[in-house]
Amino acid sequence: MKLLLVNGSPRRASANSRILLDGLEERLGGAFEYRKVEAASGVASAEDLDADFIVLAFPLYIDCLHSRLLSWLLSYESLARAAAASGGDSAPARRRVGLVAVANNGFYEGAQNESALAIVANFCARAGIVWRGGFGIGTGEMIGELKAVPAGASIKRPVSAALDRAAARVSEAAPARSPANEYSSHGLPWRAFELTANLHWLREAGAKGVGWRAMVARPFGAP
Amino acid sequence: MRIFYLYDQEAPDRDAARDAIVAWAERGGHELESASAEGLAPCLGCFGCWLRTPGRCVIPGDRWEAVFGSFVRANLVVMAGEIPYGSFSPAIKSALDRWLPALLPFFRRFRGEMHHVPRYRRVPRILSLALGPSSGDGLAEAEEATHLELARALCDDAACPRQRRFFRFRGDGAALAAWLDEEAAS
Repeated sequence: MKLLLVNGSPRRASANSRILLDGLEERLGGAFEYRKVEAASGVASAEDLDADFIVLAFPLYIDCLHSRLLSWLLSYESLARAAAASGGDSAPARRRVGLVAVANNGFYEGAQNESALAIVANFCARAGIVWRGGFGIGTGEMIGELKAVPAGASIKRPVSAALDRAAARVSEAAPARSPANEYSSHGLPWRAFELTANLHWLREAGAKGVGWRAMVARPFGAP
Repeated sequence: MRIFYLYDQEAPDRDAARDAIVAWAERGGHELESASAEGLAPCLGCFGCWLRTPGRCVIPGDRWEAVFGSFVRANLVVMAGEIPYGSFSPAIKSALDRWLPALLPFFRRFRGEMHHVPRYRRVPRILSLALGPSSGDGLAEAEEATHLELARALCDDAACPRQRRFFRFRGDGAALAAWLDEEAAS
């Protein structure tokens, strides 16, 4: 079975989406033939149609998909439509290609990925792909921070469990109806995450020699 | 009131929508600026606008400064473009991705969920106007519903009143003006 792993982040190799894809690949093991693409190119290729299943991981950018990922999806749809029109076997609709999406965002609530996942579901409908559901992960900036922490650690467990279920979707037969999206966050309270994140940004800026006053500057005036 | 009309590409219906907004603005005694989002480079995702040059995008050499400045100074921003899959168009999305410096990295609770603290005291009202033909098939309805939810989520991020309803411009300036009146009154 050929699996296309699509990284939808402009940060490419350093992206949290890449870590999520690596985690899924680890769970899926050697039974699949993997092909990895970076949607930051903005353009899909004919080779991208040659997959039985697509796993798309992406970060939330201003409530939805980054512009380059959107361009990549549009170019994939054009290729898929052309393949369908030519009657070839490479058309995703003929092959019943499935897609699972894993979105992550920097806020606490994984449910803030809902519109972005709806956009991917709508893309699937246009491209002739079977939508196999979405996973929305909040507290996304912690994915990289906790990379070395074991999957079973309490802080990581809700996200690890979501990845387990996302991986299972790839192997399972497609159900009659598209499954509902699932939302999760790392295992810490809202206020603790808010405090941790705010301190993280202060520390990051401080390391670059940028203090509080500079961080909150209004370079376009004070409207 | 200062209005900023940001459209995705040069096309006759963009001009027609702008003409209708110009007429609406003149009737209300408002100022209007307009710009195309076409050609803006995509966001790098580097967080430089928070950590290196706070409040400014680090990407040099395009029209970001002018577009962002108009955005920040406006009382009402009308973004216009096609809505593929219910999203904003890629050009509008590139402009929006680079709107991040209008926010601070810090979080707060707003409308019951986590959002960034706005960098500026006054934030513009943001409306999304769908342009281009509807596909007219069974998928269009789901995409339009997705787009309205997305536009509302953006309003939550921007801390401005939520867009009330989806509107697609089909060449009828009076209908566009009625929609703007309805949204502005809410």
